Amino acid sequence: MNGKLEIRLKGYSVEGPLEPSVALEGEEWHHNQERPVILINHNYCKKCGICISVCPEDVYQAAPDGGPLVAQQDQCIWCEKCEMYCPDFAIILRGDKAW
Amino acid sequence: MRYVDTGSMLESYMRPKLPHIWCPGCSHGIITKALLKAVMDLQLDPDQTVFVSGIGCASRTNVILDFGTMHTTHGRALAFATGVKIARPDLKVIVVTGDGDAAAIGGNHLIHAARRNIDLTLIVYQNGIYGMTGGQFGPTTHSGDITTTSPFGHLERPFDLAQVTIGAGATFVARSTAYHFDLTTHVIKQAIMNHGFSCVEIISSCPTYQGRLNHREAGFDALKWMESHAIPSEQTPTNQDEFPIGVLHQSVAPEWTDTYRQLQESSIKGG
Repeated sequence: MNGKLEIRLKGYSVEGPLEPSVALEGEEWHHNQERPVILINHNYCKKCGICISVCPEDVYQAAPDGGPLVAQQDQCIWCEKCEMYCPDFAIILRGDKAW
Repeated sequence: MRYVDTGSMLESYMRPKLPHIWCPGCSHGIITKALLKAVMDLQLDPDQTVFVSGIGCASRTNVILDFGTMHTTHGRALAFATGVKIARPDLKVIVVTGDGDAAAIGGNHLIHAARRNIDLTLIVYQNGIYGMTGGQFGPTTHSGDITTTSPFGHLERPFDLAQVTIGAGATFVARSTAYHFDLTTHVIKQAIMNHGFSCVEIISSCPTYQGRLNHREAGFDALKWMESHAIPSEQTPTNQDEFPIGVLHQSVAPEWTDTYRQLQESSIKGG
């Protein structure tokens, strides 16, 4: 991973109750091939709720301000729909898919 | 295998201009993501690719893309792009405009660029309304839609941009929606690779005006509307709200900059 991407990812924070600390340390996120690390940039997010509606497994819940809250991270099937349909480039799923 | 890699898009193809100006739930961001995925899959060089846009919400795409970009006057994006392409035929020129920009004020430029068959890729973000100026109806607004200037329902029939460009002589015409992300990426890739004028009409949404006034207020409601009203291009629409998606037209015709170079070379030899 080069330096430019690290700078661009600065506003993104690791969300969800699982594995909070290992995501941003270079190659460390290769450890789990079943579940991604969910990064959300709350400065980019406009709280449109598309990610909450589009998720087939109800991983996201609406926070009190309307933004996404990663509630059931272990349910994630890594379909990438939230990353695909986020109009604000606010969601990034990190990790190496097993398939 | 990852399908969408937002991190690489941010790293290689975008300026640090986020968050963008589009409203919450606006599908323009999804289409921009599909466009960037197509550009990434084709591995286009950002220094050899020019994005030209006019005025409007969709034309703000150029602000966040890190390519050679031109933000031009209202409706004249195709005219500027024609100039770029004639001067530098080796560059890939992609025009990103909205429907008001391409169909209303730039309608004449649209049909004549298609008639010349100059090697441009036109990507129209079609949401059927003038979102930036306050939600007035445009030439692509569906009949019966409520807008701020048609509070009792729009009376006129909408413009079918794809059929207009087919009639004007474009060699690749396709339509997709923001919901059909994979198809959008696929047709944009084909359009960029096509040697000639290609038009891709992508149905987008305007949650602030079109959505709020027509009971599709949330961003996801518009995506569901696209899913339920789009039909494959082989089928015939059963009512006026349905529209075909997919590749609608492909043909072969002499490309304008090629014929221009041939004339140039033959006149140099002859003179």
